[in-house]
Amino acid sequence: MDEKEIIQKIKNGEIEYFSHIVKAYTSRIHGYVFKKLFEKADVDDIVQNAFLKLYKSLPSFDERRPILPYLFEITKNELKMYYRSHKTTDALDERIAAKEDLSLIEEGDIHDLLNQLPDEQKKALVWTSEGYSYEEIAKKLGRPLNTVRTIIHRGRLTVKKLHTP
Amino acid sequence: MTKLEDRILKKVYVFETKRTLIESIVKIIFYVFLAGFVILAGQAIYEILMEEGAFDVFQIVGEDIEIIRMFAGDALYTFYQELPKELSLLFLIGVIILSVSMVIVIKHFGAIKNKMKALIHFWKTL
Repeated sequence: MDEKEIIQKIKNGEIEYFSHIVKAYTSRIHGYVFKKLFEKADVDDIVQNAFLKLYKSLPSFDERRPILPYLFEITKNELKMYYRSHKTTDALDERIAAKEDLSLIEEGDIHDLLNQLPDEQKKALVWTSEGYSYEEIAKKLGRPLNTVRTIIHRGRLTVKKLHTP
Repeated sequence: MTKLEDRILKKVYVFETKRTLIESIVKIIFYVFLAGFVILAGQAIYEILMEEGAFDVFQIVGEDIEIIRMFAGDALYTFYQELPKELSLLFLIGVIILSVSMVIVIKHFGAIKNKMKALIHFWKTL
């Protein structure tokens, strides 16, 4: 069965035929993303998203066109979005922020201020000042990355509030 | 089939199931409300016309063909005058939308049936 027939069948509601496309192109797309990506753990997610986007666009897809170049276009866009959302500015921000937080306060005061924080916020701030990345802190606390960001942000705000007379 | 291929298909089926469910619910609610409105509007128009005795003008149907020819225009004009205009217009719009929707559903019935079959088969074999 050729691609044109497969797409027509999917458009006709026979969505089980999408498995033909998945079987035919998964390894090629996976290989392409694997070469491009530094973080190998995210390869599968990008491949899955690319295929889902292809599926979503099939109703308006012209079946006379080949699928593979279109799928590569979608994958490239997915990679662009991935790079955009994973810009490597986190580590620098963390260090600067940690310095800002703790260097402006007297050594003795730091412990007093930190002791007034909830346990998670205290641990997170201490670890940030020791140079741990947000990802590492998330692992240590067993919390999602975004939650850790919030915990640290709240901790910093509280420290600022407590420190300002 | 590799694990990744399985995950891709599962993701696609989860998406399609959600989309189909939401679309079906929205469409059913829309059709039920529209059909309800058309029925109520039709009933209200009928009652208004009955009260006004507007259907009496159609008694000429039983008359000779010559009389029908002479007075059919007048009878229809009188009936039109007695129709509640706004309600009749809304009723007509409702009927048109409902009819078009029904035609679209009938036209896509095959595709909808195939999709439902595929979704049910997938979730059963999972």
